[in-house]
Amino acid sequence: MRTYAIAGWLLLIMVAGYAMFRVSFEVELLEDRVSELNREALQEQEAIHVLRAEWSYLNRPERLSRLAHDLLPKLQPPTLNQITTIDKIPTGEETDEVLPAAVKLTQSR
Amino acid sequence: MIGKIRQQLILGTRNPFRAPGRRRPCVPSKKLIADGPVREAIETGRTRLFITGAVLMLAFGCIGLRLVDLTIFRSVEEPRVGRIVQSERIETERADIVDRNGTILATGLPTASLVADPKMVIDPDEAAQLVASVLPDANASDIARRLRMDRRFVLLRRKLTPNQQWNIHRLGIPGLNFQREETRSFPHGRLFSHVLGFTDVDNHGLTGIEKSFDGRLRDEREALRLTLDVRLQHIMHTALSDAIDEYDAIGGAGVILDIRSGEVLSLVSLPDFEPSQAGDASEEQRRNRATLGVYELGSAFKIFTTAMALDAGVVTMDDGYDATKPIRISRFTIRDFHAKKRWLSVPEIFMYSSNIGAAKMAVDVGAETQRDYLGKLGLLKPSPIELPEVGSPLLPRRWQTISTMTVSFGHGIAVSPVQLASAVSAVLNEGVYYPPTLIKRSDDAPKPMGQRVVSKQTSHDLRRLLRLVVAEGTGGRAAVKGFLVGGKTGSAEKQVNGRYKRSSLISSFVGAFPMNDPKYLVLAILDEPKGNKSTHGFATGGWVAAPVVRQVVKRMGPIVGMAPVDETSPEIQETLTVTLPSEEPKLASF
Repeated sequence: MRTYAIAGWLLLIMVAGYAMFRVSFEVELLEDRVSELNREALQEQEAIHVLRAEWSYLNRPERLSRLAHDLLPKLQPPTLNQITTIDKIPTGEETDEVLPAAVKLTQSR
Repeated sequence: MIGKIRQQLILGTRNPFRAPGRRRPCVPSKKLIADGPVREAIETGRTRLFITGAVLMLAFGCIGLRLVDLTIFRSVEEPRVGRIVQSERIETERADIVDRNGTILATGLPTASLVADPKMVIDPDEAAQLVASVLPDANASDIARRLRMDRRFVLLRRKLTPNQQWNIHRLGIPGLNFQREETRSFPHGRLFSHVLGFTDVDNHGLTGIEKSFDGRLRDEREALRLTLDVRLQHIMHTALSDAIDEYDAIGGAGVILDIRSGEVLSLVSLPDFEPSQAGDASEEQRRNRATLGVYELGSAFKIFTTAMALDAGVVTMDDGYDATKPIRISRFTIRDFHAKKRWLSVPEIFMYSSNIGAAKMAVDVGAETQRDYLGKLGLLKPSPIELPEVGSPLLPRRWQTISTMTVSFGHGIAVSPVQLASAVSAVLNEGVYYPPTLIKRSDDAPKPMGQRVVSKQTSHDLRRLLRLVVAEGTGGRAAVKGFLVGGKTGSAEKQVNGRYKRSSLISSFVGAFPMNDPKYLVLAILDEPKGNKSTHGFATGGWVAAPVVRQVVKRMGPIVGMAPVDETSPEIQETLTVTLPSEEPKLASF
C-alpha cells in the first residue's frame, strides 16, 4: 500500500513538473514572439512615419498645381460664379423642363 | 578476499550501505567469517560509497533546485522587461510640427552616419580608397588619416543617403559601422522657411518656431500644431512672388489673419530660402520681413487715425477738414498725393487718402491720446507673435506736433507688417484686439480674452470706410465680386541714408473680407516695386499690392468655405453705404 502511495506521489510530481516546465517554456516562446512582433510593429511605425513625411512632400501645393496643369489641362481653379448656395438652385417643380436630366434624377430621390 | 565480499553481497546477507555502528546483530555464520583485514576492507568501501553517493545527491539536488529556480523564478534575478521591445510609439528626438489641418511641416527622418572603429580596420588606406569611391566629394587621404587615429570611435560622414549607406554596406569593410541619427526634414521646403526656421546638425532650433519652441519640441512627443494653413500659405506665396516678378520688387511680405481670433493663417516673407540649405542662404533671404522688418507703412495708419478720432468723439462721420492748402510746419510741408484742394469730409479724407486731413484730425485728437490708442493697438511694442525674429517699432524720439501729424499718415513711425495686420484686425473686429498667434489652441481650451480698443460703432464705421476705398477709392484693384473686400492702400517712400527717396517705395495694401462681417485680413507689402506699362508707371499700393490681395481673396474664398454674396442686396447696402456730402464724378482708382 505504502509503495503504491509513494509511486502515485512520484507520478504526480513528475506530471506536475512536466506540465510546469512545459508551460514555462511555452511562455518563453510566446514572449519571444511578442518582442519580435513589437519590433516589427516598431519598424512598421517607422515606415509609416517616413511615408507620412513623403506624403506631405508629394502633396506640396506647388507640385499638385504643376501636375494638375500638366496632366489635367482642362481643369481650372473654380471661379466664383461656380459657387452658389443650395437655396438658389431652382427646385424641380417650378422649372422641370430647363433642368438637365442629371439634376432631375438626383432631385427625384 | 574480494570474492568473499561479493559473495556476501550476492547472497544478500549483508547490507553494504548500513552504517557500521548500527549493524543489526546477525546470526553468526560458520561459513563466512569477516574478520581482520576483510572486515576492514568492507568498512572502507562502504564509507567511500556513502560519501560519493552523498556528493552526487547534493550535486543533483543543487542542479534540480537551480533548474526550478531558473525556470519559474527567473524573473526575480533577470528582468524580462528589458528584452521586450515596447511598441507604443517610435522615439523621435523632436516632435513634428503640423499645420492647422495636420499636414506635416517639419519632421525628423532617420538617417545613418558612417562611423568607424580604427582598431578593427585592417588596412586603413585600402578602406579609405573604397569608401571614397562610393561617397562623392570624399577625400581618401583624409579618411585614411582618421582611420589611423588612436581611438575606438571616429565619425567619417554624417547623414548618408540610403543609397550611399547600401553601397558602403556592400563594401563589407570590417570596422565600419552605421549610427542611427535623426535629420530634421521640411517637406514643404521654402514655403515655410521663415516661420519654421531651421535647426543645426545636432537638431537644436536656430531660428523661427524651431527656436522659440525648442524645449517643447524636445520634451513632448505630441506634434506642435500651428495656426497656419498650407493651402493659404501657398496662395499667398504664389501671389506675392508673381507680383515681385512682375513689378521687379526686391522683396515682399504677406500676412493672412483670422480677424476674430488673431490666428495667423499665412506668413510669407520673400525672398526666402531652402531650409535644408539654410547655411547657404544670404542675410537678405533669411530676414523675416513680415515680423522682423519694420517699415514706414504710410496711409494704412489713416485707419488708426480715423478710428481714434471717431472713437474719442473728436469728429463724426459728417465732419470734415479743409484740405485746400498744404500744411507748413517748421521746415516741413505736408501735401496730398491725390489733392482735391477743397473741404473734405471724414469719409472723403479716408477715401482720397488725404494727408492734410489726417494730420489735422490727429492734431485735434492730441499727441497723448494718439499714443494711447497706438499703444492699445500693439504698435508701440514688439509684436507678441511666437517667433524669435521680432522687430521693435521705430518711434519718434520726441512726440511733438510734427510727429503727431506724420504718424497720422504712417510716416515717422515704422512697424512690422504683422503688427499692422493685427492692429487693423482689432479695428475691424468690433474694436477688440487679439494678439497675433501661430500656435493653434486645442479646441476645448478657453478662448483668450481680447482687449477692447475702440467701440463697436467706431469699428462699424471703419468697415464702411474700408469698403468705400475698394468700391470707389484707391483700392479698386483689390475688388473681388461677391466677397465685399474692403481695405486701405499705403505707399511710403523709403528712407535711404536719412532722406526719403522718391523712387523707392514700400507699397502695401491691407484688405479684409467680407466687409459686412469681416472674417479674414489679407496684407500684402512690396519692397521697392517698379511701375510698368500695365500700371501706367505707378508703383503705389493701389496699383501693385491691391492685385495681390485680390488674387489671394479670390482663391482663398472657396477654400475657407465662403460663398460670394450679392453685393447689391439692400441689407448689405445698408450696412456698408457711406453718404458723401458732395457728389463727384467717380474716381479713377489708384
